[in-house]
Parts: sequence; C-alpha cells; structure tokens
Amino acid sequence: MTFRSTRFGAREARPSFAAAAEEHLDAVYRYLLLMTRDDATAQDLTGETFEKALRSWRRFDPRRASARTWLCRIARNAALDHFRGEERRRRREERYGAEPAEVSAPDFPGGVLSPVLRVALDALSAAEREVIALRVLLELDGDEAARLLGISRTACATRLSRALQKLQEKVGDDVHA
Amino acid sequence: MSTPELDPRFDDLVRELRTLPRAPEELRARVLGLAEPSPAPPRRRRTGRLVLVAACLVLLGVAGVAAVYGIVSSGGGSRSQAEKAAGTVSAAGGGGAVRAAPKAHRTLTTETAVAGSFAAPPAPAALDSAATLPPTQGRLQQYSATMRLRVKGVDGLSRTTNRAMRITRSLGGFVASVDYGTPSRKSGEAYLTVRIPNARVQQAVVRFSSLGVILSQDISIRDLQDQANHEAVQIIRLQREIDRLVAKLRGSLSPEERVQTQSQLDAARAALRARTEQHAGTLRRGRLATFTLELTTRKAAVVPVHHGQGRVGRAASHAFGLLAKIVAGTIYGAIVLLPILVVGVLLLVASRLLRRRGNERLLARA
Repeated sequence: MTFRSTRFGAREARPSFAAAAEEHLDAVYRYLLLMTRDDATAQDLTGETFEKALRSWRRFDPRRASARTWLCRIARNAALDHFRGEERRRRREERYGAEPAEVSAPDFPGGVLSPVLRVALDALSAAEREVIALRVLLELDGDEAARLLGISRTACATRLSRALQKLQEKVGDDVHA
Repeated sequence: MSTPELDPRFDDLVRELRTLPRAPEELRARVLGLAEPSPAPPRRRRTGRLVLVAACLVLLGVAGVAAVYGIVSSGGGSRSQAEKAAGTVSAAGGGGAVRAAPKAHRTLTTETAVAGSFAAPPAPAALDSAATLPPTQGRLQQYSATMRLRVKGVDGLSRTTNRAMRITRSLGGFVASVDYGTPSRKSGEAYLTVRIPNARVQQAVVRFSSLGVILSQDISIRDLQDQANHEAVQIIRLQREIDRLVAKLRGSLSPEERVQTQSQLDAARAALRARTEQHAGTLRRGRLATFTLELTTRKAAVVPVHHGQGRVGRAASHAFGLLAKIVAGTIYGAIVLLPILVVGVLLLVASRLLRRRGNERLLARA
C-alpha cells in the first residue's frame, strides 16, 4: 500500500474521518508497532489514537498539516504517555523492592521481520526507532518528520542516519555471529 | 519503493522494514466502526484575522465612545453656560427674578482671554454678556465688578491707569483707591477701586474693557431695595416716635416722667441718626457701582481660549482629550503588564523546552 505524503501547508481538501482512518490506519499502526515493539500495545495505542482523533476531528485543519502528520502527532503523544506509565510502574516496583518485571520480549507479528532485524531493532532506542518509522515506514519528508519530533531538519537527518547505521551494524554483527 | 533522501546502503534494511504488517482486521474494524462525527465546516485558521477584526472593533469602539463623550460634554457645557448666562441676565435685566429673591447674591464670573493687540483689543465674548447685565432701573442695587486686564509693558500700565482714572471721572464717578506698583522695569500691576454711578455702569464696562486684554471678569449684583425700604420705614417710625415724645414733653409731667421721657427722646434721636446714616449708606451703595480694576503686565495669567470654539471644535477637543487619556492608560497598562507578560512567555517557552527534553530522554531510555 502506498501513502501519499502531503506537504505541510499545502492546500488539501478536508477528508472525512472515516476516509482518513481508512487511509492512515496502517501507517499509524506500523509507527506505533515499531515504537513499542509490541503488537498488543501497538493495537491498543492505535485504537486510542483514533478515538482521540475522532474527539478532536473538528480541530483538524488540513492547511496546517496533513492528516497523516496530525494523526502521528496524536499517536506520538499516546506512545509517550505509554512510556511514561511504564517508567512509573518500573520505578514503583523498584521502590517497593519487588522483583523487576521481566521485560517482555519483542512481540512483532510473526514471520514479518527476520530474527536478526528484530534483535537489532531491540538495540535501538525508541527515539531511533521513531525516526526510522517516520522516515522509512511512513515516508514523511525531512521537514515534516523534524517538525513532528520537535527538532531541526538536520538533527532529524543525523538521527536517521545514525539509527540506520546502528541498525545495519547490529544486523551485520548478528549475521556474523 | 525507496526514498530518495535515504542512503542506498540501507536499501535492504528499508525493504525489510517496509514488510511490517498492516493493521489487523480486528483493529481495522474497531477503528472504522468509530462513529463518524457530524459533518462540520472545517475550522479555518482565523486567529490572526479575528485578532485584526477585534482590534479594529476595539479601536472603532474607543473612537465612538470618545466621539459620544465629546459631543455630550460639549453640548452640556455650552447649554449650562447658556443657561447660566441667561439666568443671570434675566435676574439682572428683568428685575422679576430679583424681586422674587431680592436678597440673593447673584454673581457672574467669566474668564476670558482674548487674543489681540493692546492698541486695538477685539470685543471679547465676555464683554457682550457683561454689557447685558445693567442694574435694574427703578430698583436700588449694589453693583460691583472686578475686571482683570492685561496691558502691554510698564509704560502701557501707567498710561492705562491714568486713562482708567479719566474714564471714571468722565462718567461722573470717583477713584476710591489706586495702588500702582512696578517691581521691575518689565512688569507691574495696578489696582484701582472706582465708584461709578449705576446709570453709567454699562458705559463703564465697555470703556474699561477696552483698556486691555480681559483676563477675567467678575460682576456681582445685589438687590438693596428691600433693605432701603425697611430702613425708610424705621426712620419714619422713629420720627413719629420723636414727635410723640416732644409733644409729651410739652405737656405737664412730673419730674420723674419728664426725665424718663427726655431719655427716651434722646435714645430715639440717636437711633434716628444711626438709621439715617445707614440709610444714606445704603442709598449711596445703590447709586454708585464699585469697580475693581486689576491691571497687569503679566502674560502668564492668560487663560487658554475656549469661547472661540464652536460646538464641533469643543466636541473634537473633548474627544481627543478622552482618546489621549485612553492611550495614556493603555501605555501605562502595557508598561505595567509587559514584564508579567514577558515572564509568562518565558515560563511557557521554558516549560515546553523542558517537556520536549523530557520526552527525548524518555524515548532514549525506552
């Protein structure tokens, strides 16, 4: 499936929510899947993202950003909330001396990524996986991704290059191993 | 599909990453099953336009308020002045109002500054109103006027003082007092108190007004007729009492009665003398008007001209005055609020930066 990336500020007819959901659901899901590395979490956050989007659909202005970027921003906030919650939970468990919960193994849907790539993705931080998701999976352009991440275009390009380099190295190491 | 900006070295990785699955059908059904919101017109980004429109409306409102204020205040002011002048004129000129309240002390004060040269001073607006305030014919009234005039230079002050004295004499009056002083070679003042027959008051006002530029003018009229009548009645009673006592003394009286009657007669004659003197003073005050002329060379005493403006001019002046106050208040408010606003913006920016940095750290750890 191909996604049309709409430049920020470009004039775009306002789609219906159903049309936007139909068009961008896969992109949002993939973005969250790569961010969280967990299928169930990605599905939950995707549902949460579209529920929030539905509630604030009236505020969506296609002249300010494309529907994909707008949805990704909501998804990113949902993912950040999820990570914050996870961190709080982990700290709480550490405070009360409980055994740290086992970090669940990545739960990508089976058979889609090679085991080597899955392990290599685990070695990346969420920030690195995020930039890969935005630029590689969602095919957002540099400006759009940078704006979404709140960094400069150069920083975005640098982060992407380093993330891919790191991923390449990890894949290479695992293959050699 | 490859993104042109991506390094070709990572093509294999990119290709494999793009094999990530689509959303499961269950999720798709759940998301697409969400209720379609009611179609609403897209909210346009109108903040800037709204701010512009709001600013224009506020400016128009302020201008409208200022205009209304100017019109109302100018209209009310002229009306009150007119009423004041009319009331005073009717009181002095008609006589009816004075009879209704004969002891009322009626004062008209006009402060004017008439631009013009000393040699040919224009007829001031206050002069007209003063000229319409003659003493009422047939009634005894105490008329007093104070005129403050500006003359040109010390030489002019001397000439004008002499001229005022000549005018007084030519009108059949006399100079009660003159106080002339020139503390420096450039400035000086003269105070004249002159008495003018009431019948020549109007002429006196006109001629004194021509002596210089009128800075202020205070005219006071007090009705003395009732007081004079009362004194006259008392004098007649005292004379009758004296006649009765004299007639009584001519008759046969015991020594004690004679002494007592004689003392009553002496007291009555003394009272008659006092009352007669008082009556004479009242008549004199009623016959002669008192003019106090203050001649000065000082320009600082000039009061800004207001009477020359029409209603439109006054309205514009008041409106601009109000606008100036509003602008001053706005600037004052801005000066007071600006630091708070700057601190607020800085706090907002700082909080956003901190939040962004926190998110970055969180994503780096996750």
